[in-house]
Amino acid sequence: MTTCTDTLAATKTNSPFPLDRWYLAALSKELTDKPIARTLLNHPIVLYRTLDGQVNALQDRCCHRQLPLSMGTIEEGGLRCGYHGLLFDGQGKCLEVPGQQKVPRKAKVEPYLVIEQDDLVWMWFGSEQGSTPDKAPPSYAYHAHPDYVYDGGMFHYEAPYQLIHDNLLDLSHLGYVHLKTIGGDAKTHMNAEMLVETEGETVTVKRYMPNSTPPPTYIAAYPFKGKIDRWQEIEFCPSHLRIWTGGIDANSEQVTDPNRGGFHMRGLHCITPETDETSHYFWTIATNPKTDIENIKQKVVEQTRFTFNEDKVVIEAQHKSMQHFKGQPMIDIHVDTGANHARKIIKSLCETSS
Amino acid sequence: MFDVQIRNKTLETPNIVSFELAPKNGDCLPEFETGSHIDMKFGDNFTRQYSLINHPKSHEFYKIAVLKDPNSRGGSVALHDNVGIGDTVSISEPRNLFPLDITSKRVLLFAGGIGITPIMSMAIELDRLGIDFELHYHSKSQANTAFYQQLLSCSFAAKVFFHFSNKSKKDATQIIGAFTPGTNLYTCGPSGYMDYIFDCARANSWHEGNLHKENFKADPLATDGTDKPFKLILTRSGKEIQVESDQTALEAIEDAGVEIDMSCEMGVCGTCVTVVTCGIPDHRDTYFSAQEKAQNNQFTPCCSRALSDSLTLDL
Repeated sequence: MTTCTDTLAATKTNSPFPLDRWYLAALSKELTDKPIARTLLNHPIVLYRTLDGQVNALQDRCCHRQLPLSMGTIEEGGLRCGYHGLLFDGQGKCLEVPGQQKVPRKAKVEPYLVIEQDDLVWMWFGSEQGSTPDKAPPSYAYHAHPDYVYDGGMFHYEAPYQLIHDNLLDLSHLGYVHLKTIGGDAKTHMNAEMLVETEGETVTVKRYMPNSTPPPTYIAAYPFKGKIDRWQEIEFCPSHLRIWTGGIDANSEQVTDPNRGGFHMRGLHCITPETDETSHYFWTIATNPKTDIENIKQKVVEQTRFTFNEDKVVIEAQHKSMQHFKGQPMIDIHVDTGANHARKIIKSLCETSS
Repeated sequence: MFDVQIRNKTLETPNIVSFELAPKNGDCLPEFETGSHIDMKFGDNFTRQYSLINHPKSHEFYKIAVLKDPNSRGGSVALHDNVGIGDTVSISEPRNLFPLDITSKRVLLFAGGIGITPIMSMAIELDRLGIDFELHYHSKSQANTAFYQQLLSCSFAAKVFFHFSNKSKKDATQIIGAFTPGTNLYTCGPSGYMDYIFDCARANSWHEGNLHKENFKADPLATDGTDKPFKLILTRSGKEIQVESDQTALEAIEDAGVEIDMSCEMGVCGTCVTVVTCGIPDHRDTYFSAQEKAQNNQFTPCCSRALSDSLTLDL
């Protein structure tokens, strides 16, 4: 669905991001009584919650003299610009120009389609302006699951989105980067049995670490008896990853049983590009304590936040180095399989999204 | 507005009086183009428009003619009955909403009753310029024909045709004849008369752009608040568009499928500025300066309208 003519096909630039899909724009809890300015996929956007609870999103630019609308105020009728008071509704239509009767027909700003569900605000990015979604936003059951409690947050990364994908698709690094939290012994991680499957736009990576030492986070959250059988099941989609990690007492159940018990951490990782070189990383972590629920939830969430901070330090340093040493070859190792599959998918989607 | 004194008052016909207006302070009067009129304020706060009649001493005094209409709002009656030689009235600078196209190859003039005032001025000018023309003067009877003697004895008398309605009436369609490019028709008089002349011309397939008339209105700013309809002639797209009272020129242009850029829709930004090659715009914008407006060679269709019956646009 390109607007280029055939003669220009050879010189067209690819989209820097896969389009025609939903990306996470915000966690519901971020939108209270003030508009939020956020750049997503190179689009400066204002997100706000109306007085009756609906989330609207508009281009963050008043059509009069281009002040960001995020500097305005939320009112009954919509969002009022902070410069001369132009009022816009959720579709970006100007309802009022203070001091004049006429509202010029061209007085409007571009709206962005958002759907709020599961405490998440999803935004549609199509390859053609005004395109409508051909699928529903991803659903995520664990924010309302009876067995789980959760919380989350948002990081801003001075790094491009694909470096974060690489990091999440290879959890072998836990043994080196996350020793204080979910690490455990490095050898176990690096030697773990790994299965990679790719189908369509999804890459699945499964790793099992039987008979391994439980890491600090796990011990704090669950009364393990000794060694544990650990698993990491990563499901990658172009705009988000679901990562299920956890452990059961060694030799208690089948680690591949979908209904296994033990300690669970179910993470949702929504990587939404801000610009070509920077990203928004929205995360939530759900866990399944049976007792001391609130306390365990706090511990797990804190540990997770700490872990992600460790990743952020590593990834941002990596990016800086890669920029400096642009063009230098990079040697792959065994753990890069999943990440390489994901990069192939992204590349192909960026070409078709142009 | 400036003060003038009634220098002369002449009963031209039982119902038509002419006035000569001289400046009070002895200055020269502003020059005017043929077809111009002045606003005149007199009596109990009457303001009316009168066409200026061309004559050789126009810088010394202006000449106007007034038809007494007992059915009017009283202005003409007041002038006839209460304003006399030596009285002071105030007048505006001349304005021209009825200009004569002096590049015409040939001109047909039609005057109905008091409409003779601008029409006769046109005849005088055309004669001076040596442009081929005919003047057809419709009136009730010879006794009701202002300037009859003057027209019988002037240098272009052979081009003047009187039509008295108490005698047999020659069909104007025959007089007007087929359209030839470069010929312009000008008419002034009661609305019904002018409509009749225009219909006759249209029946001969005359182009609208070559038909011109002047309406006399008491107040140029319509006191009933509605805008008058007008016509747009688009030279590049070859379209003629009627702009109704309840729509803007911009809306009419868009409805006609012609592309035009616009933005603020209220005469502030200048995005819709369009070149005007003929006609007088009624500028309602705040974008142009007073000097730019006075040149009348462009306007903003989003809010401005027309003082003349039509505007020719480079669109």
